[in-house]
Amino acid sequence: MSALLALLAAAALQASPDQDPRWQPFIGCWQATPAEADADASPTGAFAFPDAEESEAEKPEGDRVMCIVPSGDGVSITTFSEGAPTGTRALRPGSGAVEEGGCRGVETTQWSQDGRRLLLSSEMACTGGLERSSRGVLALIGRASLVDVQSVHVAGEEAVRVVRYRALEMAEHPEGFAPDPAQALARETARMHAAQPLSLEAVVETYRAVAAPALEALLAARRAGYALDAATLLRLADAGLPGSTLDVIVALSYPEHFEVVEERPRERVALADYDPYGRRMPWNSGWGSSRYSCYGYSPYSYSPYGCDRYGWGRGSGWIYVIPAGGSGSGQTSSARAVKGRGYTRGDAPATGTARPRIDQSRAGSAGSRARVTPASRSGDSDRAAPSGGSARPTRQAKPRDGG
Amino acid sequence: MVPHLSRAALTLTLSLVLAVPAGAQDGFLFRAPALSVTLRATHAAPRAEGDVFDFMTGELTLDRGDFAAQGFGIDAAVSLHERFALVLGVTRVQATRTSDFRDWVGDDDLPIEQTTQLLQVPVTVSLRWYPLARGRSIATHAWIPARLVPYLQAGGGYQWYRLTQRGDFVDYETLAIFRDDLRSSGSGALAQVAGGLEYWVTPRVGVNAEGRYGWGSADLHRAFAEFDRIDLSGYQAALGLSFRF
Repeated sequence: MSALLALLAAAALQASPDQDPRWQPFIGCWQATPAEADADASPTGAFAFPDAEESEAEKPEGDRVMCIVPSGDGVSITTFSEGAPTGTRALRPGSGAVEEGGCRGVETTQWSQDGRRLLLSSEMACTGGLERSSRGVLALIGRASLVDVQSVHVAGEEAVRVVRYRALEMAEHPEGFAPDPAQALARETARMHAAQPLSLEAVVETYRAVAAPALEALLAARRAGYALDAATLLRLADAGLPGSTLDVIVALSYPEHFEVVEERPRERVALADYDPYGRRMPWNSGWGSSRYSCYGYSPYSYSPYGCDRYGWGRGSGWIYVIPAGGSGSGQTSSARAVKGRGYTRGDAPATGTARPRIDQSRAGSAGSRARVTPASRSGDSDRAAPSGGSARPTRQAKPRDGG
Repeated sequence: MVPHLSRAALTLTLSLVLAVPAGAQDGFLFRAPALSVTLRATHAAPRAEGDVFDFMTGELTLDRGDFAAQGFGIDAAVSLHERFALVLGVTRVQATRTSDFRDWVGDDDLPIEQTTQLLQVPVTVSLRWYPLARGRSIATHAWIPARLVPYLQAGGGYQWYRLTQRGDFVDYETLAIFRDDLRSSGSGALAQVAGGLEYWVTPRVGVNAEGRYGWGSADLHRAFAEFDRIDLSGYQAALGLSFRF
């Protein structure tokens, strides 16, 4: 199967001259990465995780690779895990019926007006009578960084997922999936063009296409700030952007004042304790806090419905804006200052051991208070310090003449 | 006291001017301001009714308008709600006029001159109502101020005064001219209403125009015997600089 896929991919890559040029930046293989690995994303904003340490369970596997090859007027996306292909899915602009994983409905794939991003949406009815809608964006956020942002809405609840990818080097591509090396420069140029920050007009367009959660996640992933003024903010507000999205835009534009924090599942409790200034998940379990099963639908292939291997609990969630320098509640340990006892460490990690201060200039004067005395003047060596009462007057008063 | 107060007002103004612009963005703030401070130059037109003013304007070449005073004040408006603020204010106005006796001159034919000084220092607490929104919150972290912000306020407080007449006076019993320094000082409750308009040049710095009327009186003491309470009511008009924090 692997060889067949490679042959098909190679054939598709050969046919690339007829390909819609908007696909060009996406062509190639991409490896899922943690957010911290977005080294080439524009550093014009803050994107901080309160705790960069990741558990082993949440580390992405290095072999999670998604290869995008031309296919007709769209592309074919093949997913690899541990070097083996796990599924292939076609993606092309337009609307059409879709039936997947016990749900059926309509999906729409369209390019953004500037042709740099792919906007995905679906409306589906699932077994059991539940309806689900999903919105997503596939966009480059750097010369070699791709982000897949998706939000799913079911019965008034919403979940958001962001998966980042890095472009594989030519030598890292699975056999048969390497893009044409003769087009490397053109591809890089197309990627640089596609990775430009969203204009504010594009922000509004994206909001209308994919709604706020996915847009906010995309903005946070892109990390680009804007030259904001009151008129611009009013224009965005009047265009219908919600306050949460405007907050993300403000925060990205003023990184010296705010941090944009992408909530990860294990941070949820700490962030819930802290005023997040933004939305919070309306429940603390379910999609938003754990990986979830895709109910048997090709769980290892790329899907705009969130049913991929990475699940909804991996990588990201809601976007929060917090004051710069703060992360969550600002204190994660149980350290306290206790009246009469001083400081207690609690469960805060010790970073060293204290010893008594040895200061020769203070030796023998422990407990005394420093005193400030005026410098003595020449000829005034017998003056007392002006502490009141003992100063000898230097002038005498007398009656005024004729007074 | 005056030089000290003037120096303090100047220092405060400079401090506010230097401190305020640092936090302003391009036409908006990250949050609605919790506090605004207004430094204002005030012109006071006391009503000057009552027997002590009748006496002074009757005997001396003074009109009631001569008690019009200039001074300065400071208001701190603490935001309670989008449309309401609690305003703590203090004003210092002082009128100083020279005069002479209307009906008497010295036996050298020179006028019998004196200086009359009325100092008023009202300290008030008022509730301010903004009929129009002071700004628009378009997100948690963006607040766009309105340029023009009218307001009405009402409140009360306490008013301290000092009336001083210094110079030559006529002893009506002997027609002797004597030189003295006649003083009375005291305090009394004050009620006031005000209306104003703020024009915000930047999100944090604006100009303020305000008119207010106060009702108040206080006992006369010491050199001013057997008079009724001194009338401390009157209009005030003020122009000021406002700073938001």
